[in-house]
Amino acid sequence: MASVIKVFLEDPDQPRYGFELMGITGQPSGTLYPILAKLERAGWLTGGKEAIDPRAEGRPPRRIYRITGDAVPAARVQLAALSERYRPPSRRLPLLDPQGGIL
Amino acid sequence: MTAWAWAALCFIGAALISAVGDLVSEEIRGWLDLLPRCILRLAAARLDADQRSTVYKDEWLPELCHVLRGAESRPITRLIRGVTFAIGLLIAARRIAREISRDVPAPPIPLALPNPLALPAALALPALPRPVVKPAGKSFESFYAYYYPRLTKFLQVQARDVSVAEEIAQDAMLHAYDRWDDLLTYERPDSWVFKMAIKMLRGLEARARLQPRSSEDSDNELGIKTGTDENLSDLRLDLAAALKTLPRRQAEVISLRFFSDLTLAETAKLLGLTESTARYCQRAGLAKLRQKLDPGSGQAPSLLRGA
Repeated sequence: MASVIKVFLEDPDQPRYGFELMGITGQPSGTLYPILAKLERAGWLTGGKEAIDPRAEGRPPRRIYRITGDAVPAARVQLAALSERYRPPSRRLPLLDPQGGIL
Repeated sequence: MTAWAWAALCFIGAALISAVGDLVSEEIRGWLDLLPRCILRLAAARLDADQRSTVYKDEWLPELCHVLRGAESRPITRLIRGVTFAIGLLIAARRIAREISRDVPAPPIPLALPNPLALPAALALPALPRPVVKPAGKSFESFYAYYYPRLTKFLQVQARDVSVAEEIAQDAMLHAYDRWDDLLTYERPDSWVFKMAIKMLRGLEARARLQPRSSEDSDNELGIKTGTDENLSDLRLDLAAALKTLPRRQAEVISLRFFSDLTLAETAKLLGLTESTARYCQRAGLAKLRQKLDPGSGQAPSLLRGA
C-alpha cells in the first residue's frame, strides 16, 4: 500500500491508471485493485473516467485515480512515520579534540 | 493413372491440408484471445450484482482492452498479460467486492502502523530529509535554516557537548544577525560565521584552561561534560581510535566534510586552505582511516566508502 501511495505523492496532480500502477509498483492486479478500492473508500483517492472519445480511440475510456488534496499531507506523514519505523539505527559520531586529534 | 495425375493429386492434397491447418490455428487463436475476457467475466460473476456495471464495465474491461492492445503484434505476450491480469482479479474479486460494498465509514489507513503512539514519536524525529538547497536569497532566515544545523554539528564534534555547541552556534548566529547588512556585502557570509564560532570556541577553551581544575574534570580540559561516553557504539570507538592517529588538519577536514556535510570547497575556505590541499588532506586521512578500521581487506566501512 505504501508503494502505491508513494507513486501518487510523487506527482499529486498526475492521474494514474490501474495497469500503470501495476507496472510501477510491481504488484499483481489481485493485490493492487483491492488496495485502490480501500484507498478510494477511505477518501484518499478519487476515481474518474479518462477523457477520450471511445470511437476515435477504438476502446472504452479507462478509469483514472487521483489522490485527494486532503490526503496528501496525511499520506506524507504516514510514509514518513513508516520510513522512520524501518530506518536502521543510527550510530554516534566520533569526537574531535579542539586541539587536534581525537579525544 | 499417369505420373502427372499423381502429382496433381498430391498438390491438391497438400494445399487442402495447409488451408485446414491455417483455419485451425486461426480458430485456436480466436479462442485464446477470448480466454482473458472469459476469465474476467468469471471474476465479474464473483462481484455483487450491483457492482458489476461500475467495476467490470467501467474499470476492468477497459483496462483489459488496454493491456491486450499494448501487445497487439505479440500474441503470446498478449495472452500471458491478459490471462495474468484477469486471474489476479478473479482471485481478488471477493475482496474488492467487500471493500466496495462496505457502507460504514472507512477506518483511517494505518500503513502497517498498528500502534497509534508510533506516529507522534516518529514526527518528533527528523524523519524527512534535510533540505540541501543552499539559501539563494538574501534573507537571514534562509541562511539560518541552512547553516545553523551544520554549524551546530561541526561545533558538537569539536566541543563534545550538544549544549555548548548550540550555545556557541546561537551566539555566532546572533552576531551575524546584528551585522547582517554588512555580511551581505561579503563574498562568503557563512565563512565569517564559522570563523566567528571557532574563535568563540577557542576563547571558551582558553578560559577553561585558566580556571583551576576540580578533581572530577581533571581529565577534561574544557570542563565540558562528557556524559555520553557510556553510549559510545563500537563504530564510534573504532572511528575515534582511528581518527586519533590522524594529523590535526586531516581530522578537521574529515570532520567538516563528513560530519558537517560541507563541500570540499566550503571546507577549504573555512580552514583557510586551497582546495587541492583540502583534497589531499581528505584523501590521506580517509586512506589512513580505511587502513586503521579494516586493515585486512583494505575496504572501508560503508560510512567512508565512496567518499
